[in-house]
Amino acid sequence: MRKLFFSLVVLLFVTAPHIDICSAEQGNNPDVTQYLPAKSDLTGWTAVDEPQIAQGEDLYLLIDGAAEIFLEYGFKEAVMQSYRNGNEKSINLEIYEMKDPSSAYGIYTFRTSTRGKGISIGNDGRIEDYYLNFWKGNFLVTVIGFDLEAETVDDITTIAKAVEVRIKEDGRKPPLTGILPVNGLKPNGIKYLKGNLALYNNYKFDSANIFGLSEGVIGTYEDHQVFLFSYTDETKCRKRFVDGLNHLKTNPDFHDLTRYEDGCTVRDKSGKHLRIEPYRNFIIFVLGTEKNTMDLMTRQKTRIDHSKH
Amino acid sequence: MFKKMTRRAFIKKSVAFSASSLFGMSILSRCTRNTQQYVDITVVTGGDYFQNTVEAVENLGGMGRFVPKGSRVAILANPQRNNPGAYTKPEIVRAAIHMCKKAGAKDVSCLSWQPEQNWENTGTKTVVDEEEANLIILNWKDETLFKPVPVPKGVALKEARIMKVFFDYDVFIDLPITKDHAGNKFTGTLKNLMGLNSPQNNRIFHKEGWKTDIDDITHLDQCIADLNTVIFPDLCIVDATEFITTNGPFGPGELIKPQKVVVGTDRVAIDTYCSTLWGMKGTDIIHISKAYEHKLGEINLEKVKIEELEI
Repeated sequence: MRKLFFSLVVLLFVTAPHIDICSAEQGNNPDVTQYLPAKSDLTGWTAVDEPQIAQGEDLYLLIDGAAEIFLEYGFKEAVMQSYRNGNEKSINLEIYEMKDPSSAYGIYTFRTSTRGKGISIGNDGRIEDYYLNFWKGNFLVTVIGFDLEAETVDDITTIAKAVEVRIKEDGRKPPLTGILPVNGLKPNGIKYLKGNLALYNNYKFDSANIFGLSEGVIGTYEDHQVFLFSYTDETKCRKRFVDGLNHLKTNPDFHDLTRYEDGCTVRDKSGKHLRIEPYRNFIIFVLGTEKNTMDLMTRQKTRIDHSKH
Repeated sequence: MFKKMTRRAFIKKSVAFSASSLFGMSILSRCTRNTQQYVDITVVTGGDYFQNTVEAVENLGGMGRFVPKGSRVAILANPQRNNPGAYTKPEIVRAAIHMCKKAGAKDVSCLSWQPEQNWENTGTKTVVDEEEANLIILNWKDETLFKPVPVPKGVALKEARIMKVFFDYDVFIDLPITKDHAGNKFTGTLKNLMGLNSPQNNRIFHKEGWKTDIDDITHLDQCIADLNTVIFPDLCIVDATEFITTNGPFGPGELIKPQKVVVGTDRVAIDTYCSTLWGMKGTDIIHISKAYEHKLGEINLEKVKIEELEI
């Protein structure tokens, strides 16, 4: 028994540091490859080389610095496969399995924008220029063409659909996204956040997580943006509000910070007016003009009052 | 200071400009610097990326100014992924190799720990083969291939682990593509040097102690700046032709096409210039500011002599 235990420990020691990106033929064949389209799904397209796979933090070895944001949202596994057709055209397919549907939705919102057009594939299928994204269940799927020709767009759509039917799970958007006012929200105008890196890439309060963000949402409207950070309770929320404000006071990118009973206003370096208030277990930020932020703050509070969050 | 010229003006041009104040000479460079004076940065815009590169280097005195006859040249390109705007264009790599050979380099090698598949899929391997250069791909798992290098000026990074083979070369050309980066918003000459450092060591750039605070975005930027205090490119050639401004560094993301090749030796100034191509400033990017604090170059473009050419 001791011998067996010792052998297991040695085996773990030897193998653990070598978990890495691998090809499907190398014996380490994780489940995520089952979502790759079958040969019969791909008329005219052939897989090039073996798929590349990464699990956990080894995503760094596959996509380098892009891994960080996936890990922030909660990443499990990824598979990447390139295809080529008879005309020497290429398509890349990337399938990311995230921790849960909120992680998949979050990374989807991070990687898509208000540009492009919606397409009926999975949840929120969207084509932007030469690539297509959708999320479904715990998965983010990205299919990349290399030009804007109609034929290429048709082909990336076909491949995306072939993956979609293989994903049986579904998933719901995080409830927090439903608290944003719907009126005036741009198509695909929501960013769901799970940490400061996503926030920093969308709006730069600070390189450090000064508001202790772990869940938040940004809504983009025609003439303003609303940021909603969620906390476990009201006390924690108020503490984070005070901490964040203390940092903003010393940040040269923010000017004219004025406190009032419920919150504060401050001007950012682009001259926009930012109104910040803690309300229940949320910190609300409205980024707009001096004229509109007060009314928009009231609108957001009313929306929270009417929600079950 | 910006100066724009057309191709015609470029050809007729015979005026020399004041030299860049080089912030530290290359640890590798053994060439004698030409005493003729040049601008700090040359930017060439045009649809032929090979030609852009050639003319940009020519405007800085030609490759012979940086590559002595008989020298060995190491090139660090970025073949990260064949997604549009995510990798150094093969034609720019071709131009760099071609010019090095023409200048009399004994051998020219592209160094990398990126998988050969990346070099093949991006078309860069074909170019390296056609130009009869070497492609040296290290097994990233083998730490014995990397040499521990102390970083005495490092604020966050105290020891780098640089490819051992790198030290066999006389001249180093940094050849990145500039693009977005989800971690620190920008990739250019400074960030590209992580491609010489071992991937295991690079991990501590992304997360201090690898398992600690992911919230500290500044840590990655400080490590990048620190790494640049021990590696000094002799020449930087930046692909700013077509690149992603979102979802970097891997893509796919929003693509812009300034069709520019940016060449010089001052990494801070070059990266600052490139950041302006998509509406930022050098001071917006933490690692550029940190590199400036290390006195690695000039962040104020008003103090940098930049010549812009169109062909």
